[in-house]
Amino acid sequence: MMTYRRLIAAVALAACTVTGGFAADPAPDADGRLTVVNPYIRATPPGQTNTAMFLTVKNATDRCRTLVGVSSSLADRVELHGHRMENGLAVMRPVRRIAVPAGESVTLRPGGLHVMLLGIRQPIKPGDRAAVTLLFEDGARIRVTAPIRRIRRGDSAAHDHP
Amino acid sequence: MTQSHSRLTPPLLFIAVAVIAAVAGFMLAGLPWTEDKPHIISREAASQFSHPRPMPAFELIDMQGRAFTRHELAGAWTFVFFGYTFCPDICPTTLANFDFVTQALRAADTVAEAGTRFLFVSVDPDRDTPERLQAYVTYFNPDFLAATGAAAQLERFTRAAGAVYVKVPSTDPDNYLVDHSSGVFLFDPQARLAAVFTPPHDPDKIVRSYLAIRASVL
Repeated sequence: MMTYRRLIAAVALAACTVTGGFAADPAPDADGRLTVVNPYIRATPPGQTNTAMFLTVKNATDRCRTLVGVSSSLADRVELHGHRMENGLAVMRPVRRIAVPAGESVTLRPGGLHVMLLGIRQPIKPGDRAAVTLLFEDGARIRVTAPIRRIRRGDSAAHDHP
Repeated sequence: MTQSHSRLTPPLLFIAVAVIAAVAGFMLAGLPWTEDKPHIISREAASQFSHPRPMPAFELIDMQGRAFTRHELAGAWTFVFFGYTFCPDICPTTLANFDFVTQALRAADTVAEAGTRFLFVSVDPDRDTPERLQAYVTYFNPDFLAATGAAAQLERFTRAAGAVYVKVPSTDPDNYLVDHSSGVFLFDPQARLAAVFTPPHDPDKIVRSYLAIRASVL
């Protein structure tokens, strides 16, 4: 089931990349149909200066939208990352774009796609909040305030099928 | 002539079929001499070794700065995960999941829970000092243990366990990633590799598989 879902995501990604070039009018998110749901930043163990942010992008518009960047004053560098398995090895690498097909949503979650925050400038703890801006390929920007919290049971990719 | 042939063939055929069926039946049932052959027992969340694999001698350093050898690995069932504290997602996710495993295990079987440990082995000794490791693992669970060691000792232990790790080349010497096995390795109280748990690390499935593995060797 998960493999199937990944396959759909892979196909969708390719489709989005192809049609992306035809997205002539950069529509702002003002219509409220491209939304970011349940964003949160993983609280860091002591001494850690890297962490990850997770969220769901819901695309209720009629065309594919592609997340290409995230910015936050919380960290020195912010990157989009993904994992893939290579011979039992967890390989984490930056990804340039995360496509969200029309009418679908993509969830960034522990153990899967995530926004990586490198070089946290001050200690962060559960209960704090941070402002984060998501940038889409067509120029749309969505600003969210993400709570900082610990990972809970059910957050990670292991819980796709409860 | 043809008639006598056709009269003889059916019994011969029957005997041949019966012999083949008997051999196949024995093979499927598992003959005594095939039972000793090492094989993998598939569990819901793990691959169990029918014959647990002994580890060679190795010497790591635990989070108190003391030696951690095969002797320290023995004495309890131990889940071992190889990672590093700078790891931004897989490691904290796995450690958080194994905290959920300990909670689920406590609810299912307190005796088993008391005889189970979780050990995080850093494959990034250049950055992960014992102090840093202690602060890191106890954040996830106060009972979690951690160790690291010289490259040669890590290599010896990981290779015997079947784990791998590779430092990813980087232009910044202080800022690099380490690719590593995502499996969690289970050692029995004789410090032998008993099973490998593969992701996704679902706490309930891990507990069921772990209890089945323990029960299978009693």
